[in-house]
Amino acid sequence: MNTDILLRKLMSAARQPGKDWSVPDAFEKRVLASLRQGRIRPAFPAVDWAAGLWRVSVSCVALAAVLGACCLSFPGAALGGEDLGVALEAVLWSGAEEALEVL
Amino acid sequence: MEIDDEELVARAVRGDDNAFETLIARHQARVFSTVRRYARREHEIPDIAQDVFLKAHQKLATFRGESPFEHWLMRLAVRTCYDALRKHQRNRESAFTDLDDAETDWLDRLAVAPEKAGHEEDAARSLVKRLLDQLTPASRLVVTLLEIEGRTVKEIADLTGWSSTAVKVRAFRARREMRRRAARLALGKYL
Repeated sequence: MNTDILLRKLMSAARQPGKDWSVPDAFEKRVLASLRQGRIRPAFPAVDWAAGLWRVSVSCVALAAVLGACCLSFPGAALGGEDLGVALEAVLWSGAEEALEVL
Repeated sequence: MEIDDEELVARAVRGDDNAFETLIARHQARVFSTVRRYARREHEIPDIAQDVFLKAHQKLATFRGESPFEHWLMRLAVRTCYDALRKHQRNRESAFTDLDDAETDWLDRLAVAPEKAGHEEDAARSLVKRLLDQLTPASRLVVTLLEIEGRTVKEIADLTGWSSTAVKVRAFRARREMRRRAARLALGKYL
């Protein structure tokens, strides 16, 4: 079969309007209903916030329980009343101080 | 007196739903005819058309009135159709093995006497739909706009947001892909 003729015929067929090219009844009402439905959701942001917080609360409780268990299991690793900020600063600067001493 | 599109857009932006409803009623036929050219399944057509109008509503404030509202809406419709094609591209059928009797008969007539296989027949239309369904989203978009709707490269660039060079390159690839698929259709039937 000649591919050129086949393609030409098929393209001509594609240019013909189909038999059922009508728009569904009350389509504009459907779009507007969908728009209104979409608008209702952001009207109550507090509800969305509450739902989000409720969902993450379980993870937060689980994380707190794991960290608490770790602190109880390894008391030696605890800071023993030392200020966390001071300890963190000491750790961060220790590398820099060593480098300065070498220089 | 009939209110023009620009005035209706201004009212819709201010929250007048009746104005937007009038815009939908005025342009829905055109949007549906565009969507029909790209949708792979009949039941997808109203959903994609609805998407077009929902996006239009969302972006109405960006309509500057530099070109007619219909052009702006058609740009949105074409881009929404392209997104829908890309979203469902994994569903592309891969074979012509399930041609129905009418399609097989049409191909037979075309092989024996091309003048007896009319392009206005349903079988020809369903065959070309099968062929278009197998193209990549970009190829299908270009073939539809260039070969079926008869648009120029500049118009396609404007509708799609691609550069003119990109349109030309994609058109070249699309024609090659179309020819390869058509050849496979002919071979599949007659080997």
